[in-house]
Amino acid sequence: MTDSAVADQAESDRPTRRALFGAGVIGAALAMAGSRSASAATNGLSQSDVALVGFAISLELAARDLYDEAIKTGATGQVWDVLREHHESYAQRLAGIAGVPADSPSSEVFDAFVGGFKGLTRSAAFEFENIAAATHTELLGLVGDQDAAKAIASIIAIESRHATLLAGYAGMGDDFDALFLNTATPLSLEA
Amino acid sequence: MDRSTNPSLDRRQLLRNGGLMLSMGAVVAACGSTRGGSTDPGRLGVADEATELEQAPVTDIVLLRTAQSLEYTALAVYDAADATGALTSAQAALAGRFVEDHTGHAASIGSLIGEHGGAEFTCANPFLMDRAVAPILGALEGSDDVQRDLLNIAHAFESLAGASYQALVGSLVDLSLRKEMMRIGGEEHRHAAGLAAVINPDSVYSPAMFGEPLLNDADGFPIPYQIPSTFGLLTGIELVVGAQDNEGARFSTQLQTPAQNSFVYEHLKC
Repeated sequence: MTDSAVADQAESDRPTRRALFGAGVIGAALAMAGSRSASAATNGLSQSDVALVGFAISLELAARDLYDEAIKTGATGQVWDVLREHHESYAQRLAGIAGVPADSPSSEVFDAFVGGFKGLTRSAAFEFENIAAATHTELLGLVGDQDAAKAIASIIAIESRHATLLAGYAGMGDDFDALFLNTATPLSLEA
Repeated sequence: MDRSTNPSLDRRQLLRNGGLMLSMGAVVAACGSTRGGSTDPGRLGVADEATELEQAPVTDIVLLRTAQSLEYTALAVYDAADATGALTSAQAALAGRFVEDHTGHAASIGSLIGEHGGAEFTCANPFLMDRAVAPILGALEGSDDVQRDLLNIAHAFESLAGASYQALVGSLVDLSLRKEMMRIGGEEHRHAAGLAAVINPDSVYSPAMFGEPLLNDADGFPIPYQIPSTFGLLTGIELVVGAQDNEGARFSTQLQTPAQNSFVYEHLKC
């Protein structure tokens, strides 16, 4: 492990989920994905599944961009690079299954979290990974397509580990709840 | 060579007998299409007739019962670990937390089973206990480092649990159950990551993610990583336990996610 220590910033810099919910971000993403599905080849997924998977893709692309932002700001540890690559891989995998392009990051998600990532706060990344895992878990109850569900489950597995890793980096290594429990509220799936 | 005492056949005799065999084969084949009787394979000896296995469909209830049995299997493993007294107080505290979590998971799954009209299975997975846990714990006897082995065992079973929940997602019919399975599965993966950090604090990422070979350590033990892959894997989980034998080998096994032979079918009872 070669990550350099980066001090967490003040609590006030951390993104709030309230901002995301207020923006109705998921509804917007669903609408976007839904409209795209009408004209795209979608590998046999239902329109509803394409919308849901499209939302997951936009979340993962926003995650990639958030880690990019941290790296641009000066983050030098391996964790930022690796997690950035992971999130891009998740978007690409889901896009391959759904037969839609992975080219539309969620600007609402990005805007809500970019402050914390620019401040190189690992607690912001920890919170984000928890929310991402919780949101994907919620999607599993809605996505009908088996291949998409399996892919989402495989993403949850590693995003959960991301959160545990980042909890340690954020100084919560003795906090068993932070390490082993995901209490994050998933992003709302309603407009 | 005395041909009169040689039992071998000459070419003419061979052709004649070969023709006879072909002819007999044709007769048997012709009769075969209309012959009656049992079509069971032939048997030797006087053993009892084979018992027909019960036809047991793999339903969501079966998958939930299997998941519940995995939680009890994990609890059995931690019970055995606790009984050795080999863990440090910090390690025991970690194990204690995992026991709490597994107990909670078992209860949550039990509720789901009840809601879906099934009967809970409140004991460890019989197949896993017989084929994996018993021999693994047996290999602890005479170990050169019981604490090392216990941590590796815990890591392997937490990884197995996480992978098993991920695998169940692909089989469950009720979509709402998928969500609950991966809520729990995510926590199992977190346990595995926490244990990987204890066992191997020096390297976080599996070299396999960067296209490098995945090697065991100098003593032949698999190296656990907090982040073992980009996506959750369903491949077998290698576990090495115990002291070296006379040939320098240690007990080694592969833990596999549940399948037909380890499912807890609805007719099975504790």
